[in-house]
Formats: sequence, structure tokens, C-alpha cells
Amino acid sequence: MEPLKVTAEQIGLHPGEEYEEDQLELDLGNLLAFDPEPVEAGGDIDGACLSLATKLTQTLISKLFKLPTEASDAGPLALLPPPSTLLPRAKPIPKPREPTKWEKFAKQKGIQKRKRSKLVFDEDNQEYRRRFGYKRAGDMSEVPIIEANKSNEGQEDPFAAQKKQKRERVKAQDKRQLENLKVTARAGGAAALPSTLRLAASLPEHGKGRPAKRKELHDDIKVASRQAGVATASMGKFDKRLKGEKAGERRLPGKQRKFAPVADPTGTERTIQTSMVDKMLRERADDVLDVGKAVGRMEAGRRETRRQEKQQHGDDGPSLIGTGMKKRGKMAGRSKHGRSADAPSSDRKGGSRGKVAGGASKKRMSQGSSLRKGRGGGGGSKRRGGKS
Amino acid sequence: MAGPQLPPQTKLVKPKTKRGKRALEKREPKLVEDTKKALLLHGGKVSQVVQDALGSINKLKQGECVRYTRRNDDARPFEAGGEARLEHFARKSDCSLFALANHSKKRPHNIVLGRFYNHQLLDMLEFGIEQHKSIAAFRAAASAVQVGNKPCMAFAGDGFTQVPELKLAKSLLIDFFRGQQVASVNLKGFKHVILVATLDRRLHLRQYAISLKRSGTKVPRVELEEMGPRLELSLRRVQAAAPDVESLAMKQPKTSKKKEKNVSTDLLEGKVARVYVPQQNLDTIALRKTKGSKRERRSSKLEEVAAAAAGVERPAKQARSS
Repeated sequence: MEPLKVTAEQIGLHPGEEYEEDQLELDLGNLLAFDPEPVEAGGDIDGACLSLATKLTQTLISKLFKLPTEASDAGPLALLPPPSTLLPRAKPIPKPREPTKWEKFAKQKGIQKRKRSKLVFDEDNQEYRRRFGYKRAGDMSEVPIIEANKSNEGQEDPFAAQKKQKRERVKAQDKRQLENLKVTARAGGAAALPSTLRLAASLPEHGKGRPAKRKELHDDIKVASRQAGVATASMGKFDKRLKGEKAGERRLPGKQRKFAPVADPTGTERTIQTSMVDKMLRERADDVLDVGKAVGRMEAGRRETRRQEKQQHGDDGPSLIGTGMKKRGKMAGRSKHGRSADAPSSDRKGGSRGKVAGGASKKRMSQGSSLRKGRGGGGGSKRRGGKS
Repeated sequence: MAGPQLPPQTKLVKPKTKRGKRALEKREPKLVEDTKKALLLHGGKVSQVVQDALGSINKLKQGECVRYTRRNDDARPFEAGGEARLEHFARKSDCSLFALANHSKKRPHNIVLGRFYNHQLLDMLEFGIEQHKSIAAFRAAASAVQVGNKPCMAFAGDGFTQVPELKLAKSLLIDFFRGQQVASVNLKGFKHVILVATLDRRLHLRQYAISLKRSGTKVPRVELEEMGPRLELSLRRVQAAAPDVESLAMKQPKTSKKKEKNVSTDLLEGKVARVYVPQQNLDTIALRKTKGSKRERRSSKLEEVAAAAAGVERPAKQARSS
């Protein structure tokens, strides 16, 4: 019997009709296909739509099936490229948070945040406890007895004092937070604030957010009345004095020049001038000590001396040691060359100039320092001392 | 640049509950945004046709929308100041798309589709509904489609490249119906396709259920069945986005790529990398040994003595071998 030949079409298997290459604009990231040719309806729009949709979907799906896939429990997942159709965003791109006063200072000073363990050993309870929060190590509020000593004897209740201190710390932190947020709001408007926080105008706080009473605002009223008093053409000179107003009170507070005494045995002039110099220095003290920089500078100096030392050693080495050592010296020289060849030349000279080198060379420096420690820096330091 | 003046007395307003805080955090601008939510609402008067069409859009949008059912006489986005009400609602419901339905003698069966940027009106298009057939009017082809299923989209017609209003319509409709943005998609999960064809400034919006049949190849054959809703829309008024606002809205975030260490580009050599090679110990390295490189016993002994004199340590292994 001859085998029966059956084509795929005969058993109802046939691939759908597809568009040619480059006839469509495809955006696989959005599962989107676009045919830019005019639609030919010819009276039957429904039929035209169906055939268009079928052809477009067939092309789109065949493209999607050719994408790289990833296996999953629910079946193969096609990895989509990012969408190519640009659409407007719903909201602006979030901006990075303005650094706080502390963060600015820490950056200037080169202080780096270090990771601390969540648990610490609590000596009192002889177990590991959380560093912060509920049931923390060394929680003073859980201590039943506070021993009297010289500092707290005869004073107020130490437990109350603790609570008070805590309240004050919280209040101080709230104040710092508010100040930081105010700076942020001034720089970038209300939109720059975190989404959960809002700054609102408020009356001066007396008690629990209660508006101030008239009696408490007495001074403000007084100032207002004095200002009103001088707000006339004669600056209040010819106006009637108010009830309870004293003679000189209405005069505008002008700037009064003060002269330091000519002969001054108490040294007031000296203190004034030194304080002014101090203030200026403080204002201009932008480059506060950067620890990282300083360490780098010192390392570079040490490296330079070590290099010089080595050179000296290499010059008179061969005569002393002989062939074996000569070989070793050569090797050391070669490897050193190999290591520093990739570094820029200025970097190599860094030590002599006392310049601070970049991150990559810093690493190398630290390696050097550890080597030096291993050999014992005694001889080296002696030599350095002799040289200087 | 001086920012806005703050009042002398300022206090910090924090959310009172954790739940409130979470709700606020949900709304804050994100680097990669969620699916845009649509606000569906009525203008002044509505007809049954637009009301049904709004219901159909609700179905198409699959729950990613907020529907208001009361009339809002003051929502007239094409009139000066008429968008204030819409923007207010958008802010309240945190929606960035809207579909406003109304019906008048001048503009019967009217529907306005538009979008917001940062809760402010960006652009919008007004359509008249010429024909509407809801999902219920078709056979139960829609039953296979589940909520949250990302639809395929197909556009056809030269108008989408030539007529500015239709270009906007294409962008708007993609924004409305594309669903969740995903990095991967299940190959078995293509359940429906939304077709938008344009002919003589009219949009024909159809939705079909997809069934994938065997084709004898790896790629299946697609068979479609109309599942509704079917909408025929004619173009009416348009308001495009202001160019400055549009450029702001179109700004895409930079996807932060981690900086490669020790790799730089050179003008002559292209990509240049620095490689750290640890110091090699040539004494212990496995090299091809030739007769000539072997040391004689006597000379090695001399060497050892010399080394001892210099006070240099030698590796123990080598000392034994000599």
C-alpha cells in the first residue's frame, strides 16, 4: 500500500494571512500594530474591519511569538521590548530630595554613613536586643530603680527628668525637620516637599495650638499703636499723646552709633575685633577637614618616601646580595612597572606633590600600606628620620 | 532664584493615620507610572446612547476608572474656565484620563475624551457617537476575557498619520486602552484585540475576541470574533496640548544604568578597560623548563649563602629543592 500524502491545508491547518515586512508600524511593547494605508471599505465596513483586524493581529502575534521567551508556570512568557510610542506622563518625574542640613555638613566633612547592626548586646539582660525601638537594649525607661549619685541627689525625680529629656529631644528633632522642610519649600516650592507632608500657616503656639489671647498679644498691640502714632506727616511730633504713653516712646528707633572708649583697660575693643575675625573665619571655613582627603595625602607622602627608599636600596643592592638577589630586584622592578603603567603619570607623581589621588589609585595605596605593615616599618621610619 | 515666601509661622501637617499616609504615598509621582486611571462622568444632560457608551468604555477600561453618575453642569472643558471642575475631580479621584458625556441639540450624543498632566488639562478631543452597540448585543464571545488582560491594539487608516486631530486620537486611545505596562507577556494570554480604523474623519472602534488555532507551524493562526462594544465616532472639537506643557509631559525619566568601573572610551581605540593583574611569582609559576634555564648545584649553593648574608628570606619550598 502506498502511503497517503496529506497536506496541512487538507486537515484544516493553515497559517493565517500576514502583512509583508515593513508594511506595518509595530510597537511590540504596547502589543500594537498600525497599518498606515487607507482603509478600503467598499460599502461593508464591518467585513473590512474584521479582515483588517485579523490580518493585523496575525502579523502582531507572529512577531510576538518570535520574541525571546522565558519559562514560567503558566506557560512561556515573551519578553517584550520597551514601548516605542511615546505617551505623556500623568505626573512629573520625581525629583531627588533636598539634602538636610546634616547631610550637607556630613558631605562637606567627608563623613560617611556606616551600616550598624540591628541587634546589640544588652549587658543588663545578658541577651541581644534591638538597638532602637520597643524592647531596646539599655532602655532607661524600663529601669525600675535609679541609683542616687552626686549629680542627681536632692534634685527632682530622675524618672521625670528622663521623660522630660526625651520630650525635649523629640521636640528638637521636630524643629530640625521643620527647618529642613522650610528650606526645601523655599528652594523648590510646595511640590518639592514629600507627598505626605504639608507646610501650613499657623498662629504662634500657646498651649495646644490655641490662638493667642488678647492679653498675650499685648506687646504686639502696643507696637502697632506706636507705629500708627508715627504714621502721620509730622512723624507723630505734634500728635496727642495716648493714654499711658510715655514721652520718648513715640520716637522712631534710629540707629545709634556707638564709639568704643579711647583708653580701654578692660580690652573691650580687642574682644570685639577678635570676635569679628572669628566670625569671618567661621563663615569662610568652607573646607573643613575632610578626613578621607587628609588620609589620602598622608598615604601619598609615605608612598613617596618608600619609593625613594626603594630606589636607594636598588642602587646599592646588587653589589651586596649577588646574582639571586639581582634577579629578584629585576622582577620587582618589572612588576611594579606593570602595575603602574595603566595609571596616569600625574598619579604616579602624586606623592611628591602631595596631591590627592583618585579612587582607583587610593585602593592601590591602601594595598601598599598593608604591605608595609607586614614587613615592619621600623627600619623605614629610621631611614626617613635620617633623611629629613 | 527666590522661592515662594513662607508665612512667618509655619507648622508641619502630617497625615493623622497610617492609612492616610499610605493613600498619599500611592498618589505621589513615580518614576515608572502605574496604569492611567480614567474619570468617567456626565456633563449637563445625557442621552441613553452616551450613557451606554460610557458604560462600554468602563468595560473596555476594565476597572481602571472612577465613574461619577451625577450631572455636572459646570463641566464644560472647551469653554474658558470650564475645565476647573474637571481638574478638581481629577485631583480628588487621582485620575489622569477622562471621558465626559453630554447631549445637546447642537451636539447630540457627545463624548469628550481627554487627559491630564499633573491634574491639569493637557489635551482633549470631542466626538459624536454615530453608532453604539454594547457587549450585550453580541454573542458571549467576551466571556473569555478577564479583567486585567492586556489587549492587543490595531490601528488602520492613513488619517492617523496625516490628520493632526486623528494623530492625537490615536495617542489618546492608546493611552486609554493599552492597560498595564509589562515587561513580559504570556503567549497564551492574547485574548482580545481593539481595532480602531479611520475613514473620512470617522473612527470605527471594534473589539474582537482572539482564538488561537493550530497552524502546523510554531505561530498559531488567529481567528477573531466580534465581542463588542462597537463604537462609531465622528470628530468634533479638538484642543491640543500647549507646546511647553506637552514637552514637560513628554519628558521621560532616565533609566539609571550603573556606572561601569575601570571602563572608558578612547577617541582612537574605542572602548578601553583597565584590568588588574595580580603580581606574579615567577619562582613558583609553571613555565616550560629548558635545560639551559636550570641552575647548577654549586652556583645555587653560593646563591643561598649570599642570600643568607643579605638577610633576605627565601621561600621555604625553594630552599628545600636546592
